[in-house]
Amino acid sequence: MTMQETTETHRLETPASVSADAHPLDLATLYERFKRPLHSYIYRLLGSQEDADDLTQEVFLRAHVVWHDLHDHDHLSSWLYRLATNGCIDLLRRRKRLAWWPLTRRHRSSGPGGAGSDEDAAYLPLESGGIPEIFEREHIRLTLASMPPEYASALVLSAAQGLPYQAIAVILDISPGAAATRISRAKRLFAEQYQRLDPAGLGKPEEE
Amino acid sequence: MNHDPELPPIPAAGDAGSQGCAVVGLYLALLDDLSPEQVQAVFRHLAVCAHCTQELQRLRRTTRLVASLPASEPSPQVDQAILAALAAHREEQVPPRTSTDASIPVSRSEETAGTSQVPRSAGGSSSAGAGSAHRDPSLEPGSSWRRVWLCLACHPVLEWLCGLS
Repeated sequence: MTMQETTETHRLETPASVSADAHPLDLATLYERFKRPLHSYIYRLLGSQEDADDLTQEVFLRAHVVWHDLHDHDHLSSWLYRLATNGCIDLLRRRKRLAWWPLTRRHRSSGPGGAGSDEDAAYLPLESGGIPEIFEREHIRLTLASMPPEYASALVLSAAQGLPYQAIAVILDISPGAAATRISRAKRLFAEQYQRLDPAGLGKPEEE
Repeated sequence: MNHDPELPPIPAAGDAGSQGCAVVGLYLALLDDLSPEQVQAVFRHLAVCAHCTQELQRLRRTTRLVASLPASEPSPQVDQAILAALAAHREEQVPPRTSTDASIPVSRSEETAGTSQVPRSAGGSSSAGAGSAHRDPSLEPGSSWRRVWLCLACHPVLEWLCGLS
C-alpha cells in the first residue's frame, strides 16, 4: 500500500468524519463507508480473507443488533473499530491456544532444550512461492502473529490504518498516554521479532 | 508544545542520557502524530544522539513494513449478504433489544453454531435472517460465554487425561 493510500484510509477513518455527513441511523450507509477500512484492518491483523469476511460480517451483525440501544452516534468509527478489535483479539488468542496444544505435546516427547518459540514460527507456513514481495508479506504476518494480540492490533491501527494515537486510545478504551506507550512498545517488539525471524534482513537500510 | 498532558515533556537537545533517550524514543514511535513544534524538538535531540537516530531508522522501517500490508474488501457474497440483511432490518424496524453490551468479542464459533443471523450468501432467506436476530436467545452474551468458560474449565482435565495415556 502506498503512502497516498494510507493517508486516504486515515482520512476516511477519522471518527469526526462520520458524524459530520453520514446519516446517523443508516447502517447501510455506515457499512458502505467502513467496509473497506474495517475489512483491511481485520485482514492485515488476521492474514486471512475468509476470517476477515467472517469478522466484518460479525461486526455489522453486532452493530445491527445493538443499533437501537446505541446512544453515542458521534464515535461510530471508534465503536466499529472496537468491535473489530475485540473480535480479532478473541480469534488471535484462540489461534495461540490451538497452537499451544500440539507444541506442548511435542516438547514433552522431545525433552528439554527444544527450539522454543522458533518452533512457533514453523507452524505458520511461508507460502511465498519464491517471490520476494510475497515472502516479505508472509514474514510481516508471521511477525504480527508472534506478537501479543493487544500489541499487534495497536501496531496495525497506527502503522497500517494511519490512525493517531489519540483515536487508538478511544478504540482500545485506554488513556492516550497508555496508547502511546503501547504503540511504541509494539513497534519495538515488531522490529525485534522481525529480525529474529529473518536474520538475513538485519541492517537493511531505511528507504527514504 | 505538548498537546497531551499524559505524555512526558520532550527533553532538551543536550539531554542525551538514557532517561532522555527513553522519552524521545516514545515520541519517535508517534512521529506522524506530533505537532510541528514537537517534531522540531525531537529532531534537535536526534542531531546530537546517534542512538536515537538509529532507533528512528528502525521504527520507520517497522512502520513501512506494516503499512505495506495490502488493503482488502469483503468478498461479493458477503457484501451482498450484509447489505440484504441491513436493508431488511431497516424495512422491518424491529423493536429495540434490552441488551446494550456492544463490546463483547464475537467469535466465529458462535457463527458456525448457528447464532449468526446474516446469511453467508445473498440468495434466499437473507431478510428472514436479519429479522430473527432480535428473537434468538442464543445471541444473548451469557449463553456463548458460558460455553467458553466450560471449555476452559475442562481443558486442564483433558490435558491431564492425555498425559496419563
